Amino acid sequence: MPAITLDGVGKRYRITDDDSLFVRQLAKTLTGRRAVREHWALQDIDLEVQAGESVGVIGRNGSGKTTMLRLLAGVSAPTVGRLRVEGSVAPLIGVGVGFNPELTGRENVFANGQILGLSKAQLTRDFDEIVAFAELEEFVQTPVKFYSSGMFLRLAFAVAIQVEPEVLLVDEILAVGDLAFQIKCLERMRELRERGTTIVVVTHNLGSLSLMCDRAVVLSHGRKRFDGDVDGALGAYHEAMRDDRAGPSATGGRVEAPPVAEVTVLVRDSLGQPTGQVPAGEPFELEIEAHVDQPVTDPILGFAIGSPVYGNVYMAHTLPGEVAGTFGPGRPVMATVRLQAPFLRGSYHAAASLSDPDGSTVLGTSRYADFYATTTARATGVVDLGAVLEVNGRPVADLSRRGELPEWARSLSGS
Amino acid sequence: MATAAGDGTPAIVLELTGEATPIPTLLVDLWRHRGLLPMLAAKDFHARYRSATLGVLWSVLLPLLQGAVFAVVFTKVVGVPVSPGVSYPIFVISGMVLWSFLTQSLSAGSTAIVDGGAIAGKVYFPRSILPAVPVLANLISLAIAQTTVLALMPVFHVPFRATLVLLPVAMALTAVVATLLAEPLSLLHVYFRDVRYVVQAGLMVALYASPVIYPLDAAKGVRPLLLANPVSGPLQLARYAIFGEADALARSLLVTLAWVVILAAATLTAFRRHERIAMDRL
Repeated sequence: MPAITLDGVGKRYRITDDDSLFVRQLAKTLTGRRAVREHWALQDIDLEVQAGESVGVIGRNGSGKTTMLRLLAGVSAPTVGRLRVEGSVAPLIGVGVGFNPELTGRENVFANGQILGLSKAQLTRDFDEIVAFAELEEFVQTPVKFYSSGMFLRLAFAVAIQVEPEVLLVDEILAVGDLAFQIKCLERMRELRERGTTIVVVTHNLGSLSLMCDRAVVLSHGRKRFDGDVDGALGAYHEAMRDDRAGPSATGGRVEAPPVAEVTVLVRDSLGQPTGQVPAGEPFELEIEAHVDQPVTDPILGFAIGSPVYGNVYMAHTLPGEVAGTFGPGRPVMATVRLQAPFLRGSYHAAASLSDPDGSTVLGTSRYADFYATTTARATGVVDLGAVLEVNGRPVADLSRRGELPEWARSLSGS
Repeated sequence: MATAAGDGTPAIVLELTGEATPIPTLLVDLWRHRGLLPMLAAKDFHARYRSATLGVLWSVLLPLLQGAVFAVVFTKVVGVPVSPGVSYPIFVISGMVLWSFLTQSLSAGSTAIVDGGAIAGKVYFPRSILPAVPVLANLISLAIAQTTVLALMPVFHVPFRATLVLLPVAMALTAVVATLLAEPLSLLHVYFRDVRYVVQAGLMVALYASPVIYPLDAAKGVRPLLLANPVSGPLQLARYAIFGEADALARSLLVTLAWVVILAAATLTAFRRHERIAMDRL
């Protein structure tokens, strides 16, 4: 049964210049200087999302993503067509809206939670969990105006993600908090997904798409350009960007398209040979190449290692100015990341991205470079924590070394 | 439309087309979000008065002070013809208390959707809740101010009457009128941001077109105007509650009732059509 159905949905905005005052509108109408432009933010959108599906919506700024999310949330209504969403809807959009700085964290949790659709009883029950998720136990009685921006966002996000809707709408999930918090959020979303929540994610962050979605829709100039698997969508997205640049006049007076980067990642072993296998604890390298089609100065380079099972494992990016210089056609960004990782056995992937200097626009993201980590450890998971098991004061097993105890442990057991 | 799920709980279905929202859907939605109004009002009240500890006191004191000034001016400088046995100070102070409640509620209520734009533009809940929030929050100050009026009554030799039980009804009726005036205005304000000024100007003039400072038959020719006022009903009811008599009480209440019906119809019509698409202008 479809949770979301869009039937020939179109959304038109009327844009009048400077229309906020009636007196001004009247004056302009009387003198015949009132110009109303029409802009179709979405056109002819047919879409069906089954209950329990996770769908990503990607597209450039102005492609209609945000409008789509607003329609699905019921905030705005389509101009033509029919939209139907079955089940409770909760948006994870612009978290923290409605937070009142004068009120304490606790009061804001209750206010915000109820606006998002939680009942007072539910909030009372889940309050501790929300605060623990936000890691703000000590500050719940403090007015939110004394919070740092990070604390504010964490709390807002914790409330939003506590809502367990049948349909979850997500806008730029990864934009909140530090890395550890982001991973926690991803984990929580994975949990919701496993419980059968229908999820629609609107994102610029192409890297996170395949982690969270089974399917992706590409929007371009308000129309659906692609609907299918994530890999195909990433291809279609880049094609759409290329087309836009080929015919910039098509949209009329749009801001110039940002540069597009073609980013590749290669995994190499310590000898510099391309490899698909990384032994735990051995050094290896990621070789990143980013070819940009227009000059970019001081871009931001990011890379991530993820696991298809456990989500993101490691993400890092440079700070503004660290990758100094101007890069352009014929002058790619060539980077090497040296790593040494105590991986546990399993599949991993590496990806890299290049962003503009202020980090607001991702110019390009690489495909995943897959590799397999081998280890002698018998534990499962992501990281080898080097655990040693001691029973009644006697070390009995080194969980990192299959069967055998390390030197120091053996000496311990001997004494 | 809303089908029952297997477990018997009605499924929530959002269905949107380019057409206006059907009235039943509008009302069901409002019912589903009924907890939101008291919560937002409490939050509004707390947030407003937290940083100024004596904040509530000010909101109570100002209308009383204004009433007192009128009382002095209109008894010592100009004479206002009130019926014998009616204390003018209590007459004007009780009127000002209701009037300033209306003024404050309507000023905040008519801009409520725009002011709440940050949240209304992101999350759906019935937008008609927003204009009612300041009205409900201001009821607290109104109650305190009315209690003060009651305390002042013995000072001006106004006896307590059984009709005083109608005073809360007059307050509630004022709140209903304030809400229903604020509802369509708040939506209009999304499109025309000068509605704010029109409301301020209108309220300034309307004070003198209402039986607040003087009774209905204060001057020849203005009586029909004062009677046509949507707040004449609750004002006259408050006078009846306090003094046990009021001129044209039934008639003014009927006029107010007619206003309530008209404004409710206007509110429904406006929100059916514009509740969602107005959000595109925030």
